[in-house]
Amino acid sequence: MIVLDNVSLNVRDGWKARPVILNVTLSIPANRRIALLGGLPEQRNAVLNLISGTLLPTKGRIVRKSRASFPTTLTRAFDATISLRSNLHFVASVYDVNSDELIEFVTSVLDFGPDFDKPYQNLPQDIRRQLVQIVALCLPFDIYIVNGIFSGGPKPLRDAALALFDIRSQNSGIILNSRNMRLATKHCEMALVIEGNSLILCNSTADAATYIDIG
Amino acid sequence: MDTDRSRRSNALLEMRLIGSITRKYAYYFSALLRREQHSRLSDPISSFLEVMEPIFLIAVMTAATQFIGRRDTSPLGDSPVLFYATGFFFLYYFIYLSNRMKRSVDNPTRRFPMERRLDHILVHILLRTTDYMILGIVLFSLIYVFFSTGAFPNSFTYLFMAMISAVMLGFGWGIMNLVLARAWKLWGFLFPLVNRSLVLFTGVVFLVDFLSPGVRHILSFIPLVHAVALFRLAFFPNQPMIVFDLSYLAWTALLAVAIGVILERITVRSESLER
Repeated sequence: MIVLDNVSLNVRDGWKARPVILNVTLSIPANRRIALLGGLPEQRNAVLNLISGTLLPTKGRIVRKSRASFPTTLTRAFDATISLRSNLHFVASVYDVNSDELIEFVTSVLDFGPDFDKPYQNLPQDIRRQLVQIVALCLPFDIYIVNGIFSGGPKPLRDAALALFDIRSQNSGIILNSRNMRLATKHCEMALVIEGNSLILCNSTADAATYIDIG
Repeated sequence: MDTDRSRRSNALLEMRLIGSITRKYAYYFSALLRREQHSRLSDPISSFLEVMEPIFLIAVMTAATQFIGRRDTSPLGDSPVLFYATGFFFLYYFIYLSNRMKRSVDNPTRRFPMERRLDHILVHILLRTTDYMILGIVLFSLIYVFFSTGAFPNSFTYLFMAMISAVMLGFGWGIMNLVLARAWKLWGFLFPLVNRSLVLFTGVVFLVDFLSPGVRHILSFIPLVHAVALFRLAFFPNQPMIVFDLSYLAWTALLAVAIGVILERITVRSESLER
């Protein structure tokens, strides 16, 4: 369960503060597949960052009674100047998993060759994006924050990411950021809708359709 | 009996919980340290140049006083190298502590959720201190061997106190500038210049005590003047004590930490997304 207690988030727009969400109070179940719908892309990203803990709310508090993953598009959290191996060591250390197993899994998905020990920034952008998704889905969380459905990048990485997503969505909670209603209906059973500056939790994706106007 | 037993088991559980949290934080903090160290090793030239800046300035000032002939004796002690080394080494420790704090604290969306700004600041302080400890040992050992036996500190207590004051002042000043640079982007560029200009006002290349009383009085408001004097006191027992005020230094250092912590807490929520 992730509890948002009177949460507001402002975005700095020059000298002014512009609200993304305002005085939101709700409880997000950790064991359900939830689509994040509506609002502007930057609003959805901000909400995902808030839920994961990457951003702190401007006002109010968020209580995480379950382990939430980092957003699967958090490519910039990997240090670009150090190698992929060092980055994986770091992630494994801070999330308390066996780093050898994590490295073994990542290298079994795609043979990086010498690039594995070269600065992470040398890897192509699409590979980096897929890698972060795979790493996020590899780690044990109660709820996974998936930012967009997997596309682009080499096929082995994409397939691995999709396979991991399928496994995780069977046993854990998912918050899927998507503006595609069909995808949301296919993968999720509930919806979190951004309506103006508020968040509405709907018991089904069909209910969410009444709030939004997207295909 | 039962209540005693349940109280004891509760206390045991609490201790285990605290132990587990402490252990997790230690793992996380050491992982941050390792990553930062790897990151710095990936660009050894810039790290090397950063540390070499005070060495370069010591060499330039010593050469200027020795060969150009403006002054052929040290303002304090028997070696100009040692005098300038004690000034530049200490001031640059402070400058790098506060200057590079901004670099260590980046956009929050570039970090994993559990990475907090204060942790990055602490990692930065720890690594800079390690750098400067190594640099200090090498620098003062070389001065001891080639220039003056006075390079071995007379008082490690003063040395330690001076370094602690630099950390405290650097922490507070660094966070103040972090906040100012967020509100006013230009400050981010001006700040390193302001910091380096301290060379002219903190008694690094001269002794503040020998200035006219009016100037001395004005400069004595700068806490670093006292910190530099304290650092020098560790090497020169005959360091003049006209300006030096230990209680002023202690209070300003404590105030700097308090302001730093308060600002950090106040602004941690506003380090939000920027459009």
